[in-house]
Amino acid sequence: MIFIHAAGIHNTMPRERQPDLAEELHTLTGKIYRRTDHFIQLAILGAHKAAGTRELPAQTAIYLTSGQGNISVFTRICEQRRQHNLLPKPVDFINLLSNSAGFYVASHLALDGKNLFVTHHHFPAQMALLAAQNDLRLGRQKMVLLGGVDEWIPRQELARKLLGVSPSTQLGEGSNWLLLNSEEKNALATVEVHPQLLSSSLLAALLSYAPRNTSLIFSHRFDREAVSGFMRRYPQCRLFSPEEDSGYYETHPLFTLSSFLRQEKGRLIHIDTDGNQYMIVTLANDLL
Amino acid sequence: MISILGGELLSSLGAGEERIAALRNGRAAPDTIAVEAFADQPLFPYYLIDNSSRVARADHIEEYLQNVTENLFSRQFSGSSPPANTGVFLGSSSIDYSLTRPIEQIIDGLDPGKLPGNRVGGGFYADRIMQRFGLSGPSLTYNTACTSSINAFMDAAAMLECRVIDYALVMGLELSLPVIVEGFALMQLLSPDVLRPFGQKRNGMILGEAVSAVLLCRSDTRSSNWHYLGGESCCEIHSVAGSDPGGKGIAQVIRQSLSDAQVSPSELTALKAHGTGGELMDLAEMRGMEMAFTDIPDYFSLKPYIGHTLGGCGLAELVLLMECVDNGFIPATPHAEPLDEQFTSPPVRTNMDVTHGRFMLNYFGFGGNNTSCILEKTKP
Amino acid sequence: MKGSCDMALKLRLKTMIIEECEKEHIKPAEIEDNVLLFSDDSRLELDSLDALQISVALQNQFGVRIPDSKSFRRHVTTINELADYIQPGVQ
Repeated sequence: MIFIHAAGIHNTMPRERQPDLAEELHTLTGKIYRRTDHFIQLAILGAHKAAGTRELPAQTAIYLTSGQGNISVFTRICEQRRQHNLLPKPVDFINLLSNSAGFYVASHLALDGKNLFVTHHHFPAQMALLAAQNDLRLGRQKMVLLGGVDEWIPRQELARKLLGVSPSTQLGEGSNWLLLNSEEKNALATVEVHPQLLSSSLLAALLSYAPRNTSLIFSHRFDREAVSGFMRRYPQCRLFSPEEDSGYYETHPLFTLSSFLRQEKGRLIHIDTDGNQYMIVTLANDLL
Repeated sequence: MISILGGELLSSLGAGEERIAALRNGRAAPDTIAVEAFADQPLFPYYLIDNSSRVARADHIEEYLQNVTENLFSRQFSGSSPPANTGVFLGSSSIDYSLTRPIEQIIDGLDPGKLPGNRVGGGFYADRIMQRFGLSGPSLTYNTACTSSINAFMDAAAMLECRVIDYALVMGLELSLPVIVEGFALMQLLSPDVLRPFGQKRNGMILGEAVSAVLLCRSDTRSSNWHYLGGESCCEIHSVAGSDPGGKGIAQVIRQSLSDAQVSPSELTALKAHGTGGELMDLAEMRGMEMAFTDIPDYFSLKPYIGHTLGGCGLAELVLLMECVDNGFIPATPHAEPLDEQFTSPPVRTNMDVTHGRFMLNYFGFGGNNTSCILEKTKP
Repeated sequence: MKGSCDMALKLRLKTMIIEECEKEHIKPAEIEDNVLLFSDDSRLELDSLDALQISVALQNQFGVRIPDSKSFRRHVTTINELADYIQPGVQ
């Protein structure tokens, strides 16, 4: 069992341009972050909100996950090369090669423990959560600050193409963080990732045993019809919906989990799919 | 305990006997690559997998990954398929490989058509490998600069220890995309001639390509002479562009790695240094070793053989180390003479006879990424 | 015209340095033409990564390639020297 001790949500739906986060960051932290791009600023902002006023132990690990990382820098470098024959800026290059957002988060919070950037084709948030769960269970880490960061880019058509979503999909951006710990004391909730993908029959079995009033939430990959199908089949469950609007982004499950913590008390099953099988995360904040 | 069942590597050194002979005789010569974005189009040495097809690397990534995996699986499962409950852990300095082509096409005003797998981006290649080989375990793709594939390796071991999976396929990937060589050239980190790790005349690194695959399992599933004993990964917040030249961050990760693996410094048979040939990087590494050890173990760098294979170097160098020890030696580090006068001890000058022992492997990268781990080969 | 006599060029260089090194709190007019850019007590507080950032901007904006930023930092120490380096002028 692993425990959530804090959560930080940063979630927006930009329309025409990336919001200027440098200013917001400055107001919030009183610091200026040189050499950071939008993706890095997003990461610091979310992590800062999750850490709150806590002073985290220096050994706290950072697991940063994203679907496509600092895609705006990568796109800009490609554009500069192909259209204007320009060299990438050294700072962009460094940030590209190591996804240095984790470095700046560590530096902001004065952490020197394990610091990973991990990703996955379908489930970046859940797989990062799984890696954290392993390390906490093995006692390899005591505390993990886990964040999902995805940025919105102005080239919407390009973004939708890369993400494989329909032209009508409203895209968003987010930086949602959980502070995880193997200790129960002062925890907000328990969280568990089911490490294996489930077939539809296994998912059905799991849901049919779900206790009364269990909240279900389905990822963006389910359409409305599929969701209402599920809700008809499992009438003992209720559908959770976050109060805050959000667009499509690949680490969105972390936004959902944090929103549940903010809004509700009870048990939540988060269901995601790669089109064939299902990935499950359960969360409970009514027993602690 | 975690068994390392075997590894495969595609690098500039060729394969089998050819590769061992090159390592034994201290011979490896890089190709060259032109940086076309610079007005004078300078040539830089580069250790390439295949000199003839350097143009279209981005189009062959899946093929390379499939080749090493196929070879590994056919050796380890004698022709049959690996169990479905095998996880895939891939490390690369670029999660963007799969994005490159479609983004370029869109920028050029072309329609990239339907993308394979419907989506590109992080985790794309790991997913392709899982599809191709029918694997259904969890998967993660790591992007932590030069520690990417060694971090993938260490997390794979943790996933096995947690009994989430029974086998782990770990992969390292690094190919010569133009943006990579341009970036390092403009950072002025490349040597124009020879990679001289820890040498007084060192003048930068030489890049290399590597695609590698390693298979792991718990020792109660299958035994092997090679084991992973432990290790640690830390973040050094000195500078995003490199380690503290004072060596503090490097000393820290070395100490924590020894402690995690429960190995004392005197038990180390040899140490595989990161040894890039970079002026400040080698200095930081030497200072780190001086701080962490009373007596620095025999250390060596494999980069003069295959170049600095960036995110791929974690696993590529691990495979080379295992092959060398399996063949009874640790290779000398070429071009390290004369040693930098500030340094306590030189790297291994002549091949060491080694058939088993405990080995530390160190890796340091951009973004404060430092990783150290320890492997063991028991007496054959 | 020799670069060090070209006020427009020097303003452009100063603006470029401020932009590239994200030193927006400093105004171009506050950078004197003869002050050492890379010295520790310079108000700009530029480091080796800034030097690289500037050298790439010089290539991108002026077509000047600087293959070795260390020797560049030794030889081009002020705005005047930088301006002359880019625009040696006709003797």
